[in-house]
Amino acid sequence: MATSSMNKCFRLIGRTISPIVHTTHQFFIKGCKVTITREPEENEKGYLPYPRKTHYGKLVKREQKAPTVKNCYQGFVVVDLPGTNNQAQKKLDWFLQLETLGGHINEGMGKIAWIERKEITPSKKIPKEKKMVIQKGLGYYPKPMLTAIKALLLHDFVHTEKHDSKVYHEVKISSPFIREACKNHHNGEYLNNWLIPIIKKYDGLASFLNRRIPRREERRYDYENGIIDCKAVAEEIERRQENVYELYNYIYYNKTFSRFYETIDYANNKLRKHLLLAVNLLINDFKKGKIEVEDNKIVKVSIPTTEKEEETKKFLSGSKVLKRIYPSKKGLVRPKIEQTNFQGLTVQSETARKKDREKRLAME
Amino acid sequence: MNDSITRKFKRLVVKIETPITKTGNGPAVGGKVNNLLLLGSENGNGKEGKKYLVKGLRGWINHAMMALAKGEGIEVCHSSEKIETQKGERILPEGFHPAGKCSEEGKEECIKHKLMGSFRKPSKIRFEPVIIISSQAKITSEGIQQVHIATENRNALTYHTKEAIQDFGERYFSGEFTLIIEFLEEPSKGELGFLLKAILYAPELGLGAASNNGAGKTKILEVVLQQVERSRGFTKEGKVLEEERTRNLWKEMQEGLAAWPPVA
Repeated sequence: MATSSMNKCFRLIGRTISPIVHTTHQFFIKGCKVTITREPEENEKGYLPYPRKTHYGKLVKREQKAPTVKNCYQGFVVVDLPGTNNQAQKKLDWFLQLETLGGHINEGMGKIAWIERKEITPSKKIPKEKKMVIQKGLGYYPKPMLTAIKALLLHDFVHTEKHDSKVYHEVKISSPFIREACKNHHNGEYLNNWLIPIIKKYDGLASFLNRRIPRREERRYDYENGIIDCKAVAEEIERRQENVYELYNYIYYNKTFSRFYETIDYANNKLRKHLLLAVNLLINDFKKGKIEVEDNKIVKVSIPTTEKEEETKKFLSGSKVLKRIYPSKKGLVRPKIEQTNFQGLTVQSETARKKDREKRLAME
Repeated sequence: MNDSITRKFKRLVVKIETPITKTGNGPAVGGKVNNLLLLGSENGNGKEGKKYLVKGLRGWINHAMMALAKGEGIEVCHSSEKIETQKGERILPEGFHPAGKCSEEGKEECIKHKLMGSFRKPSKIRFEPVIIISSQAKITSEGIQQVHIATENRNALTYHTKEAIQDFGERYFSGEFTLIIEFLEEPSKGELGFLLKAILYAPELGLGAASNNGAGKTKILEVVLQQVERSRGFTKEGKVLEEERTRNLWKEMQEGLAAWPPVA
């Protein structure tokens, strides 16, 4: 009980009469957190909901927004004071005599009416989801994951039924398994190749996320800024295909390659971003636990619909991700290796021979 | 209400009537209608009637002060701090000095700067927000004023093809509304008189946009100077309780009106 009373703090709640002109909806005054919210209570995740936002000033079409237009917020004002001691009480009284907040107060903006005072215990907040970031370099992953990454990085450099190679020249992929997957990723046939559905999924997802405004161009790169030797680019990719890390770094850092468009219809999007996004979506799903490595394959993990929402919200901890990458070898049943001599007879170990002798002696 | 906080101040309550006024917030990006500053609806559903804020009232009184002082031959601050454009063309009219220039050392502060302030000095008066709602709305709350709100659509067509050249609307309101001006500091008699006369002069200028097209006409119905004692405290349940006592100051108003302009 002592600890709970220690954690208690004052909360002063008010209502905005006219919008508060401020750059953000959260700010500090005298060490107290002031939040403008849509509702004066926290939501399920423990956060105060975002307030209604309006603009104060003239919004003119095709003209610069700032500094003529200012952001203003309306809804409820929540002031969280630290503790319930005398100092907090003094601050509460100071806030109570306030009638306005923010800027342009002499013109009628930022007027507030206080409603009530509460004593609350701060609720726990669920940490916000991390945004997916395109990695600068690849980390360590199991072998099937690296195969899938390689396939995703190379899938647009071969001629398929739908389109030709996006660097004009076809890259000769050394691995027949990956080549087959890349060639057929636009087909309906799966050909008993586990890579095809993976390329199909992440290629489609990356293009769906990236494509917004269509712009049609005649060439596959910005021809105005100089001609690119596409054959050299294809050779460069071909040379780097054995090492996934090298290939990823080439696509990430090369400036000539970054000039290629994703498609002719969507010339605003770059091929570099499309490939990197597809790979990072795959890695992200692996870290979240949506896909797993099984029998040298990548398999989708089936989650019941009820648990699906909860599962997708959570990010796996660092140790769990490491466990996925390096699975423990405990309890693994290893196949017995039987050595054979030249006559085709099995060679038993010395311990087994001893046991046999003991058994025979006991029988006699 | 033992631990209540009290504040004593003076305020001017001005009742104004207007047939049509367009105090817009500018057209939204990509929009065609120059709307008033929208504050949302009372319950958030939008069915009860939308609330709007009347902008530009402080600027209106500011310009009335300038026009009044110029008529009397007294130099006051201009609304702008600029003297000339980048090309060197003079933009400051005669009879004014740049805003806040009079507050420099060795210069006498003008009466407008004492009241309205500038970047260098905070203002002595604060304008309360005038929030309006349509007279058709059934649900209203305290402090919100009901007026007629509508849109004037303007559509200019070409002679032969009847295609629209200009197609836009302007939101306006008409009716009676009350403006409250609070004094943050005690005003002198001269300052009070100057402000009162500026309010009486303001209908000569237009309020808001399209004043040359007949909009922005106003009529001052009533002006009252009040002494206010406002107290605020908590009940046992933690609810905030607010009380207000007012007293009209007719005599001070008359003295103030007589004090400005100063007799040389």
